[in-house]
Amino acid sequence: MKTIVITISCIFMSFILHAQSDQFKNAMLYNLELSKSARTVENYQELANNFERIATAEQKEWTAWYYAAFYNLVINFQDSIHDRKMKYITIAQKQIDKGLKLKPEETELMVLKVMSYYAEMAVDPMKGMTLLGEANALLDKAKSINPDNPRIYLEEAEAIHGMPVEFGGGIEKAKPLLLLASEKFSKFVPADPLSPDWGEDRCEMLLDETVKNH
Amino acid sequence: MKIFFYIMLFCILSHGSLDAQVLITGTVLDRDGQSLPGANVSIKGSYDGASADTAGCFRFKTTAIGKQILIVSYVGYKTVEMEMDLSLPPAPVQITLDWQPGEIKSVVVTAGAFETGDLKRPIVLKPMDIATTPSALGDIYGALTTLPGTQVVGEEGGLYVRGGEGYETRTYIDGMQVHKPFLSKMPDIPTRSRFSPILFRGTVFSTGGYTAEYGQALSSVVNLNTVGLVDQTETSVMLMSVGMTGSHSQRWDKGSFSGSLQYLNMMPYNSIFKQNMSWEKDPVQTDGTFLLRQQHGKYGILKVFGSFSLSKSALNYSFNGDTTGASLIGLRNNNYYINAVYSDALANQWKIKTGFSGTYDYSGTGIDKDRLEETVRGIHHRMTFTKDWGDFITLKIGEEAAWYSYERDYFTADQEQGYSTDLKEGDFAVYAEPEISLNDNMVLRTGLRAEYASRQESASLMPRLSLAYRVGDYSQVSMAYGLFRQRPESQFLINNKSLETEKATHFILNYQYEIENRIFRVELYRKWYDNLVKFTSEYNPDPSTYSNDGKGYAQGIDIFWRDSKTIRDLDYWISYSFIDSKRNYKNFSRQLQPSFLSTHTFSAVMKYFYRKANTYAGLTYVYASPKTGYNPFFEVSSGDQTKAYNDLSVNVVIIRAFLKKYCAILLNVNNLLGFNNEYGFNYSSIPDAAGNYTPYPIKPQSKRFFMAGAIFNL
Repeated sequence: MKTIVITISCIFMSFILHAQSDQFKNAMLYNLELSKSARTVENYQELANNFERIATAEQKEWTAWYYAAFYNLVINFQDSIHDRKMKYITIAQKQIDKGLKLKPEETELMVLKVMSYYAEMAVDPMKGMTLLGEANALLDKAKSINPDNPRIYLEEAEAIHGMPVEFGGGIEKAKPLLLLASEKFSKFVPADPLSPDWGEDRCEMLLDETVKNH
Repeated sequence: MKIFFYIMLFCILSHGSLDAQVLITGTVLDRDGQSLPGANVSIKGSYDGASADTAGCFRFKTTAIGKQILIVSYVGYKTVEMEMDLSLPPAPVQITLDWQPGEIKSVVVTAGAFETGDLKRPIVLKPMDIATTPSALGDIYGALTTLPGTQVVGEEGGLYVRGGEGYETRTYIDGMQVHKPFLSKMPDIPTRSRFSPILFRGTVFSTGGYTAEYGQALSSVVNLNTVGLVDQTETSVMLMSVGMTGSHSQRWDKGSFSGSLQYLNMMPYNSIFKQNMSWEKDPVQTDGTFLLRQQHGKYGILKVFGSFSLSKSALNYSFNGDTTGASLIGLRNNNYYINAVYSDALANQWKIKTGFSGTYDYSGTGIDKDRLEETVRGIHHRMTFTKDWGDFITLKIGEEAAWYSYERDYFTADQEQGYSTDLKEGDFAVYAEPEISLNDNMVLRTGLRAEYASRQESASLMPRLSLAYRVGDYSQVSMAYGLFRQRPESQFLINNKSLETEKATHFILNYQYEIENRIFRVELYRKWYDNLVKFTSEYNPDPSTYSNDGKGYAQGIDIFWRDSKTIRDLDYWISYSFIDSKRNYKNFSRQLQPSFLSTHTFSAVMKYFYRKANTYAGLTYVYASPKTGYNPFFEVSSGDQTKAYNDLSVNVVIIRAFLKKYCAILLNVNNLLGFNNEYGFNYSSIPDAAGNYTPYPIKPQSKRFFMAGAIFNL
């Protein structure tokens, strides 16, 4: 009888524990699904808030901080008021740092950090002189940890693409990196359904641009 | 089986209770009753929550039960936590959020202080602003002279603040003394800072009324805060028309190291562009710095900063201003500096910051066949404890000990064994300074500093007081008062060792308006100088010709405006200073306006980023009203007037991709329009037939200065 009680309690306990991580997974998947239909600043704010709530409640999940930061950056890109843009970037950077504290070697977080540097440069160009160097060093570090992450090359290409042709930038200069990213995308399999898996469309779109230029 | 039944029942019941959701509704508003759409509302520790809609309303269901904490947060606002009892259906809640303190609306003492960098608001100049101000050419002090309260003293360089001489400004790095922050100088040629602006995260530039932490400075304090842990491992190289610099940063888990080496040689430049000076040997300089950071425990960090610089030059120079009878002056300067600062958190919210610094500076000057050798050694130690009692009181107490020696050996051509003198000083000081928030709108800081000087065997007390009062949402008024002492300059003290410390009393009234990226400030001040050194001749070794009978005053108004908001990608600041100051000190015959002073000084700095061309363009315009020169015997009552000083400097920085990395190309032109500037006068040593001493204007080394460089990130 005792054994039965213990066995059943164990099953019950594991059910509770399992339910907890399921709760996290389900909440994340729900919000990732929600993100597919997000179009407005309100939608993105909602997503950033939802992910932030999950991240704060869980404490140990870097992916939740990743998406919270990601959508704060998206809001920054859509906003037009200088001061507010900077605030969203600052929040995103703090969230990325929280993620990096949980997983210091996560290249996805590094790529996002680089994206936040680009966003910061767009708002305050004076910072460009120092931030470009930091962004490059961070991309190099990410490459040394996980050379197969296609988003590293995509972000690198974005910066060159954004630079005027006369100054060594432009889509043609970015093409080799885009081709490399595209190749990496075709082989890329996310570690789990919650890990970032974006950018292939953007990469193909930019590659189409190079074709149109000819 | 029975037990299984109970478990089933428990499951059903608990599942049932899980389904029993509570609806929470409410609104989120700011203090003015405006809705805050997008505010994040949640139950602490759960996923449950919602975002406020455009009307500031929110509604969500939660499965949490009993007493819970509701958290409401919004960008730029203070997060609010409130307790809720969910055992009963809750009524709609109304939540009001306040502005984030410290972002805009907190009260801080601003009288006399320019906090520059990202340490604390108000931000006035960031490190990059200093590095890219066209008139400064990368010199920290040069960039600070675009702020009000400073003088353009082209023949000296350095910082002349509110009627004070250059030596009255004291430089600290991370709170530790630096004895020789400037390169040794040739006559009539401005000196520069030894340190590159990019080493520092922020600068506290105080034009007066500074805290009890600082002593031995009559006019001004510049505290340079070094950068923290570097984020990335990177290497960069800078090639310039005058030399090259290489730097490398290495990051590891709990620490980082950065080092740089620089070599400068003016020879190629001086051989292309005509100089007003006749260089026998063009200036050559080698220098280097390193920064080591190591974290210790959760809050502890050790910062070590070291630098060296070695320089040499030789110049044909006429002391009497005319071109006849020029002397050959050779200069050699070796400087070594190191400091180490440790800060950590102690028990009961006490914080400690302690460190030491050491300076060794050798300067050898040859004048024809005579030789002067000067050696400065200095050690400084400081320990400060701070504690916050809530938001109401912050207490700072500390002690400081310094040892300083100055050695001078003079060798004349005919006499091999020279004339040697030396000076040794020991100072000890303790200070205590509580900062009290009297209410939300008022902060009072009362400091007291006690100093003991070993040479004089005497102690003195120096009170410091400041008060800040918030008058509007974005504006505040503050005042500062303080007594300051500094020992006389070593070259005078060495001739009469019983000279007392010089004294200054400051009173400052400040108004500041700051909103988003605009800042406006006006400051009125009055300074009383006492105990200044007086003598008959600077070079007379007879102690009886020196006294502390000098006196003086300075009063004026400083105005500053900075705006980086109105026009996208344009950032500009404008400074205006008016000063009325007279002194009777040194060898002055009566109370006069010192010759380094311009009554009116105006400067404007503008920086613009052309997004389309990836180019930064900068422009500085500086105007300083005429200065007055006096002949060596002060016989002409009115003195001689220089021309007004005008300078327009421009630079461009182009960022471009280069071998998959980036490079920045810099071009800088000083005095683009070629104004004929005069810094002051040298006088002939012998009067002419009519009994007049002929004034010879001191001119810049060259009318314009060009500089080109490129920085590569490797």
